[in-house]
Amino acid sequence: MPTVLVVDDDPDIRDIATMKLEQAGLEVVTEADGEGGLAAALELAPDALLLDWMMPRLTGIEVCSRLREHPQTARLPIILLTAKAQEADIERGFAAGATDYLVKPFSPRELVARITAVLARGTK
Amino acid sequence: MNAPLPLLEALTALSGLLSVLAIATTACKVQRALRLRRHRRLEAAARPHVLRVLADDERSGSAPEMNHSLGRTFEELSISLLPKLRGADRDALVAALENRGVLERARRRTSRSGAVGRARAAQLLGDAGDEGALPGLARLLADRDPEVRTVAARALGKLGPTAVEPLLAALDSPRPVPAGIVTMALVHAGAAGADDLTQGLDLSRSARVRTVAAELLGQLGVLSATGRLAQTLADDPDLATRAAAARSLGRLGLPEGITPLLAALHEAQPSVLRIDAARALGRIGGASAVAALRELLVSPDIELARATAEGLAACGDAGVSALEAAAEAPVSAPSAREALARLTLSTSRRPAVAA
Repeated sequence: MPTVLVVDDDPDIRDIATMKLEQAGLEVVTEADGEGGLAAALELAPDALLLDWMMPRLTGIEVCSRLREHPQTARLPIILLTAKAQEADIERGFAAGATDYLVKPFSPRELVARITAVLARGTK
Repeated sequence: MNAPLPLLEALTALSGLLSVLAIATTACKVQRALRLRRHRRLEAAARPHVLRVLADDERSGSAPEMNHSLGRTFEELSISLLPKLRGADRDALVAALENRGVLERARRRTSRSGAVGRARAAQLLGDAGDEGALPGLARLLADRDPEVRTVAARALGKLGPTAVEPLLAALDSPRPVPAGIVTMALVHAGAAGADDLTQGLDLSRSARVRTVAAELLGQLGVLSATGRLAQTLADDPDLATRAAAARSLGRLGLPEGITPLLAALHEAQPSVLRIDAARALGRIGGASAVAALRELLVSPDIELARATAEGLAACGDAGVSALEAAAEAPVSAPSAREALARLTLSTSRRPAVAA
């Protein structure tokens, strides 16, 4: 069963994403901040990472950049989930290595569809 | 030596008072901690019910029977999730709140006496996207409390195109809502309200409404409004409205905008309008825009010369060539050199895209 790591400091988002992804038959692991997310991504080698941008300790963008520098996670599908919706933000997200970008407020169904799509592409 | 009796009595009274205060403070802290613990317990109990509503593929919004406290917490939790979600899952939460009578209570609360209650009701109805609440929210745009008016404007913006007309009308209300708040709400309402926005350019409307409408038609990318904006740029009696129309024509970027913008660039026109027209022409580009802008690089109006150079810098290779020629000419144009320097700086600062 593919594993998705969900990293968001908002417990509501973590709960909703977990419920929806589990409903779609995926295994989910959650972390509440960037540092924990980075460590979990390197340790667990998940099949996809759902990553918030604005988080304590380490931002999603920093986590994303660091994971891209690591050979083990260089090709890990990373979906940024963020309230930052400006064109420049989206550009910055992709420049940091994000595979896909979802803007908050978000549709949990769309989230599942996007994660399923990146998993199907098997870019890991 | 013994202390005098009144002093002893005073000290005893003071220590008694301090003890009472300490006990009262501790009691308050304990009560607060207990209340918080109870709230957390209720929230933990309500959360699975909320998630069950979201998991329901039929989006019926049906939730099981709950006691009063748990039901209230379920409602609070659902309300707090509305601004974080969109789509079918948000609709399911809205249906659950409607089933429990929460939205109906909020609609009634828009007429209550307390300003905080009215503002909270407005916010909830906006977050729920409740179109049935439009008349009540529109009424709150003229509320005696300015905070309520602001919350109502933001809530209306979330209802979409049907809210455009009441929002525009709020700009002319005797109890006005700040133009910035209305503008943001209209942006939120989106381009689907373009027809009402275009009608906002009509000369029967106030200059304030016309200016906001002209600005937004460009910001929202309403290409079909190009002709109407060109007419506003040419004919509107208000300078701020004409300038907004010029900026919007530039944002829309259609070639149909070039001729009216070239006319607005004429020396007989006010300087502020010429400046906006120069920048807008730069956004659209094309040979005629480059030719007209090149002429103005040596304008004695420094701001105009600078805007012209910015416009040329945005025109691509033809514009940059014109700037380079002007910078090297015997009568050099400082604005051209400045624009070229900025261009070089911005190119070197552009972030590298990760491999």
